[in-house]
Amino acid sequence: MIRFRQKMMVILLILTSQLAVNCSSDDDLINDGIENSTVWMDDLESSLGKGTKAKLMEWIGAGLDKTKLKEAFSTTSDKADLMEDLENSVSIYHQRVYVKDWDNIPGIEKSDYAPNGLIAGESNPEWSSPDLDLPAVEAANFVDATPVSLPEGSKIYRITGGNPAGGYWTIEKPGSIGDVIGGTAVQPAWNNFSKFYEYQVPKAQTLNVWQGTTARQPIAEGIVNPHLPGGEQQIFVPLVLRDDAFKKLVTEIPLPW
Amino acid sequence: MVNAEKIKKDYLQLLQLIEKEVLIDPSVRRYLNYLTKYKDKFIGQDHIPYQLELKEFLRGANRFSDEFTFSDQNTRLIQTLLNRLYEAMGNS
Repeated sequence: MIRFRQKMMVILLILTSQLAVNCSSDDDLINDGIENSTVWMDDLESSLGKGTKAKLMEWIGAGLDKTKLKEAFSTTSDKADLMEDLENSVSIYHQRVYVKDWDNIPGIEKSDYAPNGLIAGESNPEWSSPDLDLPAVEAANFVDATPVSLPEGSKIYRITGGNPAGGYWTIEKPGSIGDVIGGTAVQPAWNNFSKFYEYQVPKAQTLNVWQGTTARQPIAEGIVNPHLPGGEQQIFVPLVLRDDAFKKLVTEIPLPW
Repeated sequence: MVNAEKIKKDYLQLLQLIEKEVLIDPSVRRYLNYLTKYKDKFIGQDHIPYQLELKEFLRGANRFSDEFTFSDQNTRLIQTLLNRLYEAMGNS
């Protein structure tokens, strides 16, 4: 009788432990299921139209965080509007702004934005031309600004997906995309950071520019925290100097990253 | 002192110029859409409640404009209008 009880106890113990193993593996499966569930995407496909899920999957495949994307859709009051914003985004960094994936936008500062730019335009009497002034709206992008005549051979650099011969450049090559987004305070909505340009001051010429510390910018309209801290040296080439001769000397070079 | 009519006139002229640019280069539509976001506030009669907001918006709009290539005949006026609007908000 005692032996029978012992045998029964052993059998019971084996069955219980097996049950525990099974339960644990069921839990894992459930968790995996939740993690990999695409039910929310199916719901969006139903409400926003055919092709929605494929786009979401494509963005996730390109590096957009699935959890942040899901959260953004679950919290927005206008899913169609968010979808449109994501579709019209110029880069993955721009999409990350919409889904508030701050950890994956390099160079940003997780604190409140407060303007620190110059409050008025600047003028250099030695240049004796108002066309070379730093207008107030440009001065606001500088914490400090000094007129500098770049000598022949000087090189300046610009990252943009748009106008190769715009006004904002750097003296140093940016080392990372964070240097551009955070250091030179370029909102991801403005620039897709896809091309790199160089300009070299021609022989026997100088280029009059304004050089100084980049001021802070909001990361996007209406967002106070995080923000773009600025802090890198930037230069502004006055519009009057960005003529055809200047444009011809702007050349595309390989991205530095 | 705010000159609401002057601000409205400059803003609408800026929009007109950018609309012309869109006809030359459709990619500029992105910039036009950005500028029109604050249309109601720019053409309203009272800018004072939105002064700082509009000033900050204009600063961003100007910096964003640097990404676009506008036609030679309009570039200078676009930049002038952006700066004038910015200064008007600062002085209001």
